[in-house]
Amino acid sequence: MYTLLRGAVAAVPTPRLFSLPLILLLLWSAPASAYPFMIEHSYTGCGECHTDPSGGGVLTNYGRGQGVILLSSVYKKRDGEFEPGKSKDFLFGAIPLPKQLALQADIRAMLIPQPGKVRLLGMQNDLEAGLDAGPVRGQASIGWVSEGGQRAWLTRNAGAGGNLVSRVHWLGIEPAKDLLIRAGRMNLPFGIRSEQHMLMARSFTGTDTNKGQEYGLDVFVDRGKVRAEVMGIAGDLQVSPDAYRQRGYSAMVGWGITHKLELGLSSKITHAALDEATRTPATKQAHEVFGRWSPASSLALLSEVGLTASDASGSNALGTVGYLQADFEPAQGFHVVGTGEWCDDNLSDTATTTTRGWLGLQWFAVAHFDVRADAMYGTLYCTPGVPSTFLGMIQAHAYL
Amino acid sequence: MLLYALITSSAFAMSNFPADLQTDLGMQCTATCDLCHSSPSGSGVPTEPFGIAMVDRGLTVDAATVAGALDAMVADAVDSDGDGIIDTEALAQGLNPNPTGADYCPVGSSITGPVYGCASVSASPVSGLAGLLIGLVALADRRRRAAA
Repeated sequence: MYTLLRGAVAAVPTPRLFSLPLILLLLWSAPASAYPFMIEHSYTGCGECHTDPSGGGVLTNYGRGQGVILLSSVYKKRDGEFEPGKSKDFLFGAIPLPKQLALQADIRAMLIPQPGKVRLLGMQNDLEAGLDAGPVRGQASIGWVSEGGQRAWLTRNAGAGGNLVSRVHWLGIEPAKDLLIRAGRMNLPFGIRSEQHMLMARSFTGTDTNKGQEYGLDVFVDRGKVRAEVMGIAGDLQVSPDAYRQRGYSAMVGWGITHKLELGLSSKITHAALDEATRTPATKQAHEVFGRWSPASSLALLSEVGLTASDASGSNALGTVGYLQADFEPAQGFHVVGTGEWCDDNLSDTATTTTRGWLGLQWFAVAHFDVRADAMYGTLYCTPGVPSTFLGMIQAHAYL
Repeated sequence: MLLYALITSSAFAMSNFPADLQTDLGMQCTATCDLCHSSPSGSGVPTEPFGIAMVDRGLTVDAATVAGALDAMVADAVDSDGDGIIDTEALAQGLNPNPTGADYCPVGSSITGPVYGCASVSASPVSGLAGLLIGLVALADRRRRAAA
């Protein structure tokens, strides 16, 4: 197990009551499974709570416990000996699992209000498994999406009915303590791992947790204050023909300067004989610095600042992407998230840099369930020159 | 309550146009950004004939306007390159409807766009996943009964 928790976890905040109007508002709220704001509880790393040492996906037994103790709203006073018991377990303990095996079902749906109707998206309907048996570790997922997520498709159904997806499936060994070598399909080590896959720092660099996974060989090392990961990318074998598969590397290193501050660097270079967007050969680069800081109790600041480069269509375009996000938790389980982003794929052209601001309310109402509402002003993707507009979304997420 | 009002009154989803067009027209692969834009990354306002024609027929950044604009394109029989194949039909065939630019994934051609997924299916795969979940619940119930 990776010893990434350094220092005592913050005490559980005192329960607070919400006003009725606020509760009604939150019932319309929205999304979230890798939670980088956990640095406010002195988690600079991710491997304590997730099978994947860089976060996201299947929770460890410890992570399931923290999901009840630290994430969810508290309605009754707890003593210092509080234990979540079976309420934290897979299907609430209905199926006892061997300690080497973790199972998890994730369901995430989104409602998008539109003039005259509401659009429903089945974002995530995944069944995931994690394996931790001595030196052998592994993770796999299978699920269904109603639309989108093409790069993770297992089936090829362009019509109605959606597709089966597998976002991750990897197997690894731990030849030494805090060293994991794995192969398979996995999230790319780059920047701050977050379930907010629409952050432009994720979508524009192709490193989101929705469909940004690649096949490859990955090495993860944890050395106390420093965690590092490098992945040799062999391409997405769920995309064909081979010319569209990008190959290269992605890497990150994070330095936990204190229990409340982590700074890091990320780098990624890939080449594809045919770029999916332009149908031309393309070498793409992204290099950035990132930081997570909890300057005060219940507040986490997250930021990434990056430079990008692409020679798709012979453009030799130099760009930039980044964001600053503040996550404030006034009462346990209730988060107010403010984000400012920018993105520009080509600094030398005349198109106005894409900017986007959004405000989100996220409520981990009970264990295993959260809802979130976001209102944005900007554009959905990194599309400089496209006028900004409002959009909103409401998400609900449950895991069993 | 300002946020609630904002979401329920004026907010909408911006389109992922290539994916929406692929779904709406049954394309075997997605079009590239140069279907509508001069920029290969899709930045800037639409400058290509197809994109301009869509905007003229009501397309905005709102995803809800895509289907209506496509219907209007069909009704007006828009044929941007004048080859006798209207734009929506050209796209359904994987052809580029603009006067210039490469085709996307022409039917019957060895040149294909990216294809996603490992195996073609003729029906919704959701029934298979539902069966898996039902089996899991049945297993839980069996173990619960055995424990009792």
